[in-house]
Amino acid sequence: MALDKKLLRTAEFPTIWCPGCGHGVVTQGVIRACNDMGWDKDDIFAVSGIGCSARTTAYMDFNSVQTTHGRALAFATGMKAAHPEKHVFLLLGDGDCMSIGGNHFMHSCKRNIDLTVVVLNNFIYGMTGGQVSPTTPHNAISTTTAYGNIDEPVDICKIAIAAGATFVARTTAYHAAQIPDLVKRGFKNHGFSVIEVLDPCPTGFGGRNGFKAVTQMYDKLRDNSITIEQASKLSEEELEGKYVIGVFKDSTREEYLDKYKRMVEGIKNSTAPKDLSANSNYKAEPLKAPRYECRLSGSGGQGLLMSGIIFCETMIRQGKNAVHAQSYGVEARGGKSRSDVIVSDGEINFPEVASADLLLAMTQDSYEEYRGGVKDGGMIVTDSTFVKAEKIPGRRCYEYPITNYAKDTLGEIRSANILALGIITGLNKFICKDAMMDTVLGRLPKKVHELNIKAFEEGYEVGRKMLESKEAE
Amino acid sequence: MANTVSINLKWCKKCGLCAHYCPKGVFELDKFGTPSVKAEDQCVGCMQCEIRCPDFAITVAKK
Amino acid sequence: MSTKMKVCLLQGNEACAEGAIAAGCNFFAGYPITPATEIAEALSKRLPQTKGMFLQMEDELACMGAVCGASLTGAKAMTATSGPGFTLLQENIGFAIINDIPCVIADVQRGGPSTGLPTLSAQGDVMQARWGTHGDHQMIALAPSSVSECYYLTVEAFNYAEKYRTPVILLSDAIIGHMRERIDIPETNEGLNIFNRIQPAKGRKDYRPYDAEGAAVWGVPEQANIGTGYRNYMSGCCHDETGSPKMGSHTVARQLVGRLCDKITHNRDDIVRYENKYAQNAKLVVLAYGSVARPAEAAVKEALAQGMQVGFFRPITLWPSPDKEIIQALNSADTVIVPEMNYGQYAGEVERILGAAGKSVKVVKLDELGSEMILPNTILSKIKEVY
Repeated sequence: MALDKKLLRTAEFPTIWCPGCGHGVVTQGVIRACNDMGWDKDDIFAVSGIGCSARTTAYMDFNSVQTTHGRALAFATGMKAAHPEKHVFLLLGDGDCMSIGGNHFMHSCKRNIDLTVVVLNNFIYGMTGGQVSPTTPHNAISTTTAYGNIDEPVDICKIAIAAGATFVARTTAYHAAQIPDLVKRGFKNHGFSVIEVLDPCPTGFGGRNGFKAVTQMYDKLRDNSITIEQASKLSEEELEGKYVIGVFKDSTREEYLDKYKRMVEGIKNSTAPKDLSANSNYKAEPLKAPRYECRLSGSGGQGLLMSGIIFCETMIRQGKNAVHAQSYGVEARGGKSRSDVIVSDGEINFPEVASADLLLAMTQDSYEEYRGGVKDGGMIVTDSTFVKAEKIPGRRCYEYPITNYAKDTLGEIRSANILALGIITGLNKFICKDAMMDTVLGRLPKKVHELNIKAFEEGYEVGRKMLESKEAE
Repeated sequence: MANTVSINLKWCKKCGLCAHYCPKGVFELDKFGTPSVKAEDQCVGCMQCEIRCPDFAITVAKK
Repeated sequence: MSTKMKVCLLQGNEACAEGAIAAGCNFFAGYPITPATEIAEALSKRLPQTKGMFLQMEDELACMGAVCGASLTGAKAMTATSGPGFTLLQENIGFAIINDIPCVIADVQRGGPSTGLPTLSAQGDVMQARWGTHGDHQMIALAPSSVSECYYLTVEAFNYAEKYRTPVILLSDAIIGHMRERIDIPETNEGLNIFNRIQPAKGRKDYRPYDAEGAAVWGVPEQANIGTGYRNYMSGCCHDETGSPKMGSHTVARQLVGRLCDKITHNRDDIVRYENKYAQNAKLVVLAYGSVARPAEAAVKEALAQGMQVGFFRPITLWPSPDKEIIQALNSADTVIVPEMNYGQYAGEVERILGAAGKSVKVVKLDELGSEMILPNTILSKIKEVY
């Protein structure tokens, strides 16, 4: 079959590679495969990393993208995911693929995304002068293993199979005629395909490891290659120094982007933000000051984040401006929790409580930490289940066994935060009871609505009584 | 069959692979390793030289 | 025709995600990291809902690679992270810069360096946003001070990315990212003036992907999305206008790097955003950005209420820095107070700007490195101290 020279980016020739370098053989094999597939050149994305192998894509007249070291698969994943109809393949060196790119290689195999990777394995980091790579043979000499490589090489095909690739094969640059066939099979596999090609680096590897001519390196590939069937009959010792070539895996698994498409087609809902535009039914008294500050404090797990958000949302439903800021410790459970809600009819600058109009303290610790930050004339509401509160001059102090009531009377300790919200609503006439109730029901799942209505109503009554008692004073 | 074998010397890097693997002795290398087509009439069109040339420097046209 | 607005309660990170959707973002590659994870979580739902692509990648190195790859094909692509992840993104931010690739990176800052304070806010990535990746380059970075700005500046970030074909950083922080406040957003994105990258006409014989001669936006090549009819070879190497690597020549490199830097500095008047409020030509100005602008403005208002003449300057683009505008705002000033949650990173930039302009204004740093937001009273005390 004649190679269509129109597939070559001839302006970049002659190639940068050393005489005899196997990369040129592999490049030709890949171009022949593309030739046979009959694809439109504009639909082909040829992606490479860094190294001598990276230059392969320069010589192909496709959309050729040489990326950063080890990251070619990430780039190719982005390209393919954005345009699944395009034909995307990669040419990677052994270092680029297995060392710096190892994690991306493993995850691409796992994803089984429709990409074909041709690994040009020349057992060395060639471009930088011949350092040891993950596939350098044991005892081999390189510029960073002057005393012989003490490490063992990794088997790229075995890793690809273990990680989930669906087409995995190996050949060598000697077996040049096999390259287009295997690469085409990779192209046709609708999933992640890996074709490893062992190819000679005469300069970086050959000269240091006893090869006098590059032809000797090709001869060695010829003489030491065995098929999978032949390998199955040999012992571990007999396999030493042999190159097993052939197709190791050719299977089917649903491709990643097909799964994504299927998922997208099944989606009917939208989580676009809800419109909380002012409801004229929400009537309440106006705010008494330009800025109202409320601090809900206690420990993690008491539902103060949710209460704060509900309070904030209620204010917005009432047409006001409101901010909610949360602060907590690193623990997933327990630890401190603090929810600040600032309300205003105008701009809110500082989004946290500086001097609280109302402090809710659901633990002794939080009561002691924040009681000093309540303004003159402000309110302090404590949960007497946990807090021993004192009378503080100039502050209106209220207490109620919030958690005990929730646990013993309502039968659910987790309704304490809504009971507390009820108290806060009862205590403040600028809060519309209906608005708060609507927000509570909107934010909590249906199955707990009945419980939380009870909790809120109880709290509201308690709050109103507290307010009237103080106003009567 | 009379195939033609041509070498693009601008791209050729004188690696010697063509001459090494040609089963019919079509190529000859000079003292610098530069290949030339010595026995084109011997060419059987196996294509080993073309597909093995790392530099795309050889074209075999089968007649 | 006015667009119908809806009133919402959103968290800063959620607003950033919504802004991205409004801007036309159709590709997100992210990795979980506190305090930015909510952006990924929101987009993991919104993108499939809007037929876009969401990918959780194996690490931030892959995120930025995927973002570049997708953007090259024409996608409006984004990632979101915090300090440690931002460090990992730098490698491919450099790739995006050298290849004129539009993309948006949200960095929701937390305490650093290294793992630092995962759940506490800081502003320590300011200089990293400017110089995180190696080599000479310019950068566009926007600092939101409210939930509303998380939305609208994300839209702006995408517009800048598309217009100037460059990475744009949304430099948020844990306070802004996690707080919730009222935000009014449009039902549709009609009024948002969405900018889409300019594409070349098809079939041009003289097409060169990195050639900005005669471009509609100064210095910005009208580069074809890959796969749409023009094929070229691109790489992270210094290259000429065809994309061919030219690594043996400082001349070519200088031309390339020069254009990449100049395309931002030449267009800075269009890019720079800021706010200059309250007393003009005051002797004392407070300069603050991001979450710290909130208590700073509160402190300035209180100072004015107490009879002091104090100005307030808020850079919205941290980079390129609003240098001319800062000089103008400090025209009559003796002192500028720069409160920030880092060791004086932007105060250093203000000193540089003043030095370059030959102006002697005292720069007073106020670097609170505690866990809480800087309190208005702390700033007010400093104002009173130096007034």
